[in-house]
Amino acid sequence: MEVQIRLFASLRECLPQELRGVTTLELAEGASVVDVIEHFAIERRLAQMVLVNGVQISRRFEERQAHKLAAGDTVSIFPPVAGG
Amino acid sequence: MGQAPLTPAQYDRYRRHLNLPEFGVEGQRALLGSSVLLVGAGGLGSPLALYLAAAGLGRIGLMDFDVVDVSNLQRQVLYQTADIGKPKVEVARQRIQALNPDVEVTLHAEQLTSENALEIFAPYDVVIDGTDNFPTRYLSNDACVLLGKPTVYGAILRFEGQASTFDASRGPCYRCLFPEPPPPGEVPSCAEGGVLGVLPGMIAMIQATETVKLLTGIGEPLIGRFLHYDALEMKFNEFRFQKDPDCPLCGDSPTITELVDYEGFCGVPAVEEAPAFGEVSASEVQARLTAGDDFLLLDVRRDDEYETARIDGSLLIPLDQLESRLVELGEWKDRRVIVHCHKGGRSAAACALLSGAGFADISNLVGGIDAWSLTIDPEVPRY
Repeated sequence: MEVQIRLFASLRECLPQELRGVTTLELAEGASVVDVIEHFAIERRLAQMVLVNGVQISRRFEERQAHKLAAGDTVSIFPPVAGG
Repeated sequence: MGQAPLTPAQYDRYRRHLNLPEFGVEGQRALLGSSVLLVGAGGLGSPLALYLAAAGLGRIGLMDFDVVDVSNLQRQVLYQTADIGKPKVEVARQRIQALNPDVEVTLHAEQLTSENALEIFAPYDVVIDGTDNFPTRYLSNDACVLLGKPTVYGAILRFEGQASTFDASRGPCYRCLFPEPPPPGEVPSCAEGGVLGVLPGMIAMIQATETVKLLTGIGEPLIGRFLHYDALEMKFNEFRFQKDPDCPLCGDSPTITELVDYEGFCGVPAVEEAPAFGEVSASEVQARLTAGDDFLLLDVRRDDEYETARIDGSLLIPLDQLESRLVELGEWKDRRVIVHCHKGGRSAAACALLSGAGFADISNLVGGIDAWSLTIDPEVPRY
């Protein structure tokens, strides 16, 4: 199944610059946001704010693993940003 | 909130506010009787100070211990070229008082610490977070939650920004979103990553609007909402979020009950001192390698990154192991060491660590191995 990925701020660097953090990912049925985080090798403390279709997912590992993605879902990951 | 009647001069000055039925004389009196603290007088703090002063805040506290640098002027609109080298808060006070003599200005030309935060924050109605580093952001949030104060959040990087209003008495706090500071060197600062000069103006105006709304009680605050702005797409996105029952600060069983300084484990100093290390370009490193110069090329990325791409001849010690493995670098203490990571952020933290440990000749490879792939050796894969 295909899911939409939106990586923000410094996490945009996980993808080539021209994509600006936006891509699609082919995942196996039953995949969860944990699989997305592991796919991009995002450090745990950079993946604290994770949303699926705009709704925040608990940061508890078990709940993230239990939250199965569906085809067409959009996964957004925001790392903390400090600039001011 | 202020109860003093408006003077005739104030009726003239704030006429456009008074003409708003939702705002009126009561709203203006509330602003004139209120106080806010700006933590940081930089990209966000500059427009915030100007607009809040113009709006007629009774008292504005400014917290910043920096001096004006020429590189600030691209976005920090409080300051002018002639102000370079002057303390920011002093210049800011003059600008605010010239703009609106109704505003009382209090200066805090010091660093926020666990020792002084509660005392400094206590007299203010609202704290506005416009700082540029994680230790101060976490400390500022923690102090506001412990004091039961609302804090108006804004943060920027490159072409995007975020804003929210935190009030743990009726919604989530910053730690409900980001419970822990990020690992050292993993998140670039604006100094490293760059920032579009007009961007802080946009985010600061959201913060200023939120502040005025909180103080006057009008409208719907951004409590429980996270607003993201992308300047390149010219798009705002809003995400709703709840108070986190697991929040270590304002959750059901808080583990943080007093203030601590985060500088140590953030690995990013709250004080941006002039770095005690130099910078070298990828081409300079190549020239030194070709010439057979005596130097150590130290790679501080993770093992898996090293497996993906490496510069021949480099020594790998991941940043999180560097402090405990310094003894392995003993012979290099007085010789040249060039440090690199993926793009230059973690290696800057490593340079600071080595410099602090007494290494005499430390340089950071600007742009990291990514610059190497782009400009020297395309065979080294980019990732």
